[in-house]
Amino acid sequence: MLVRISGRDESPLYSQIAGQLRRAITEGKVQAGERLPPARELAESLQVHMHTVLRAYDELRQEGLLEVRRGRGVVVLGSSQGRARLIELGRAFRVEGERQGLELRELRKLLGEI
Amino acid sequence: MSNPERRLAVWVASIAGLGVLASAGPLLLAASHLPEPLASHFGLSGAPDDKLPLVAFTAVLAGLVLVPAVLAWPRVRGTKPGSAPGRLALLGFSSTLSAALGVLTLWLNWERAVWTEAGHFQLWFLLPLLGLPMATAAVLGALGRRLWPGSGVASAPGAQALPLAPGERAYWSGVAHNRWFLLIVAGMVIQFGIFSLLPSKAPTAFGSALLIQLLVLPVLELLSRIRVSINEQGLTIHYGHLGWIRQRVPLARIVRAAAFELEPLAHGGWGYRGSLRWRGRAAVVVRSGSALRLELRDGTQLSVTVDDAETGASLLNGFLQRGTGLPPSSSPALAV
Repeated sequence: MLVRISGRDESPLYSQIAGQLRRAITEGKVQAGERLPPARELAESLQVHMHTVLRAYDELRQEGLLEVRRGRGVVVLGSSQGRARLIELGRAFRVEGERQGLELRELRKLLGEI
Repeated sequence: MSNPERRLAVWVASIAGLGVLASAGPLLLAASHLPEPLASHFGLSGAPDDKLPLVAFTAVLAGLVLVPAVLAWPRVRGTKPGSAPGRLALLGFSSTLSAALGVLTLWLNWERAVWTEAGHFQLWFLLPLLGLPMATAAVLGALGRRLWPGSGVASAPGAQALPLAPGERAYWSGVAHNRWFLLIVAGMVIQFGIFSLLPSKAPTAFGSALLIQLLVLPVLELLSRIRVSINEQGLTIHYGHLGWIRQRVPLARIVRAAAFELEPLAHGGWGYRGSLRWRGRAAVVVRSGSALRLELRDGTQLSVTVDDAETGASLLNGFLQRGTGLPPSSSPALAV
């Protein structure tokens, strides 16, 4: 799995990391059942605070992509790949909507009309 | 058949012919000096414990050469280009093993009246019995890489580099598994559990077998899963599920990286093969398939099997390119 972060990107570091990991998982670069590298290693390599990486891991855990197992570290779940894809598309939809000046309420309505 | 395939067929046929001659020939020539049937199998104590008629035994030896020869024949087991060195190595291994078994059996049975009087099998026989075939496999693998240049190289070395913006930070991690090794490890652990429950009257042969296993077990575990991580400092190989044992290669030591398909037999088998210091080439072989190759400053080469090696190689080349402002060294590719 490849993780790249750029200072020029305006989105926060944790969401850049989460985005890259999400993509790696949905594209199958990381297999279900595989452990993610320790957060410390990722943090040192990307020169970010460990909490930034942990926050990215936590975001993916809430989306059902990861599972935190005691003593085994962070394990990738494969079953919710469809859901992850939806979340990814939904996020793009929302970002584009906000760029066009639409509010969440209006976006919901639009989504219902499709 | 294409030209390289025809060449491979000629090599396979020649090695197989030599192998059959070398394993069956001496036994058949010396038939008058051997018991009939001859001792063909030896027990744990080293004493002969089974027999075979001479003809049947030579047939077994010939089979040991001919079956791998069929497997090594071009287009059998897929048409993956670049598998030629591995095919030659496999055939070389089994041919030499067969010849060594033939010579050893001849020696142990020489001038004995009946098979039960044959010489005893000593533990050190295993050294040439496995060492010679492994040496042949390594030589034929190296020869194969020379005869079929470019085999096993998926991309031109250094051709791909991930473009990295100044200030951009990047990290890559990939794994390689060998479920067979893990299965053997699990089997050994279960076996230890069973033995520890048995009353302690097992024969000493069990004891030494267990001791050997105790040494083999951690090595197998370390090779059942490896992880490779890459950052701006360089590349790190983490051995085993715990990843406590690490090998670091600083970026400053690396000239360029490439991805290729690795054939274990062409590198002398599984495990940590070769040596950077003594042979200038080393390979961490956990399975066959996708692998990363590093060309180092001192002219040595380190290969390591890892999934999606292509991305890893391009990130390393990206770091190298950003560091120097030049594309990774574009000298002609080495014939490997």
